[in-house]
Amino acid sequence: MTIYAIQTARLSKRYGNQQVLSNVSLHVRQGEVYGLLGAANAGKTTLLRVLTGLVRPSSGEIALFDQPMQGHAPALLKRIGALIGTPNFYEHLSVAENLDLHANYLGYYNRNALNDSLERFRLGDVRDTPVRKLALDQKQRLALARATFTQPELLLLDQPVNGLDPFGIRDLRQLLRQLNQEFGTTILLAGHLLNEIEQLADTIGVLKNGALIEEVALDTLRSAPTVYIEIVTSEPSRACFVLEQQLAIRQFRLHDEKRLRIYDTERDANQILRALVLQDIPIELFQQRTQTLEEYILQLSHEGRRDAAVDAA
Amino acid sequence: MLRLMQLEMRKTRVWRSALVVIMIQVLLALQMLVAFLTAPVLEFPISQPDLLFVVMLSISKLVVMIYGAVLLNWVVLREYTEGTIGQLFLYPSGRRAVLSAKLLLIGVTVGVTMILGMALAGYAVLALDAVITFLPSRVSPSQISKYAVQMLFHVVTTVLMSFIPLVVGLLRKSQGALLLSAIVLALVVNSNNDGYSLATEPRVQTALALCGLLVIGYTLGWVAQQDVTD
Repeated sequence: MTIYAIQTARLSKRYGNQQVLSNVSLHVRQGEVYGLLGAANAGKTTLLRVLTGLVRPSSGEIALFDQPMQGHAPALLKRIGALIGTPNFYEHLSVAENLDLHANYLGYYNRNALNDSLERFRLGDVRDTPVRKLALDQKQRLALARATFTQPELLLLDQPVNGLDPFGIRDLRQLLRQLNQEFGTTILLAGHLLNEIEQLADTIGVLKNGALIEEVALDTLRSAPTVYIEIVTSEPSRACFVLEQQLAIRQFRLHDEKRLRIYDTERDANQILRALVLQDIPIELFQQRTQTLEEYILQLSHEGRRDAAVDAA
Repeated sequence: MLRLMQLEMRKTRVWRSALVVIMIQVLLALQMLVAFLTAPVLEFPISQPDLLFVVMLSISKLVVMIYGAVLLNWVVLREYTEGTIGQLFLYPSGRRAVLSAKLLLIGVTVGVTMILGMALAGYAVLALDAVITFLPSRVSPSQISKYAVQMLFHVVTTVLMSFIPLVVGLLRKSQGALLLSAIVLALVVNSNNDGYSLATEPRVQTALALCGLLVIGYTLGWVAQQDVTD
């Protein structure tokens, strides 16, 4: 039986006339990394705020760790680490004081945790520096240190790579992998950087205008069938003639001066290649392409919900 | 609750400022006394202990009510204006408990500051009287007990009414609005006319203290329901 770290049913949030979340039914399995993708103002941050009880939903249900979340749920909050929106700190207090305060509020008393966390996020040099004197990337690292300080079971990270330098991004990626693989931490990564999310996520959800338009396992996408065959040739007009007249293929398009794409994916690729070669058509590239995550997301953004499109068809 | 109050004290070191406010009360009381004693014509018979008590009480009320607003700003409102309230409400303690700890800390600090300020100011006045006698007779222990009881009543009412500006500050999310409303309230509460002072009028003080209680109740409810966004 699948255990869900987060499960929502028809979750909606409305501010006045503005519908920020619309019937979101999210399913994050325990122990997985879930990438929540969406453009700015898609509702990602609001969704995270709703999941942590900072914002009350207008309607719908939430269950965390298979327990319904109704109102304030201290036992559930204790199991969550979060970085939502702009990270804010007590600016007059030092880095170490901020983390120590955080641990005290959570009732987490581990002598080594502070030093470990400072070291892991390269904050040891600024441990006694007031937060107001930190640079942007140091503040972001401190926010991540705070979110992961207690090694929570569920980690909610909103745009975690914001402001990080390449080393910080690499370190964060390694840490999240470690937390996920060694401690089984469930991670929900919200953002718009496909590349970052693709490298870590097991499942992605796509949020558009407050609605969750797709939830799909990345493995499913990776093993997706061929979407098109791409041919690069110096004689595209002859190639088109062969495809049309000899092979009776209609679903193809001349993409640019040399590039052809065949969308009739049920055709045998070997047969097409053989026909072109037999006609002495010079082939520079012949490739069966699957859809990239980026193309998939862009397609979803244009078409809306995939199952809806299928139903309509 | 005590643990939450301790954590609040680590964020805002209120006791340092409380010491300063206590000293301000003593100095203002002494300055007022000296001004009365050196005036060519005494408008009021300041040499009467009862009147002296009222003057000291008004000064203390005025100072600690403004101090209360400063604390409300530091301890409560700044969490909203600087955005740290979101993180604070992610902790398992619960919104009401966190806010209750904050308000309790402010109440205790304001109350203790007023008691110590008035006690020290009273001690300084009596010490001064021992050097340059201006009171008609020595203040008896029974008189001191009477003033202590009156002071306790005023400490409780002042503490409660000092929460009234919180509702303005929170609804407007404005430090300026909070401080301004506190100053206006403190001036109104301590206003006097021909020797009649609102600062010692028990019905007015009690009514305002009840308003303070209502504000506390309203704020606790409001905070529990409010969405926390940037």
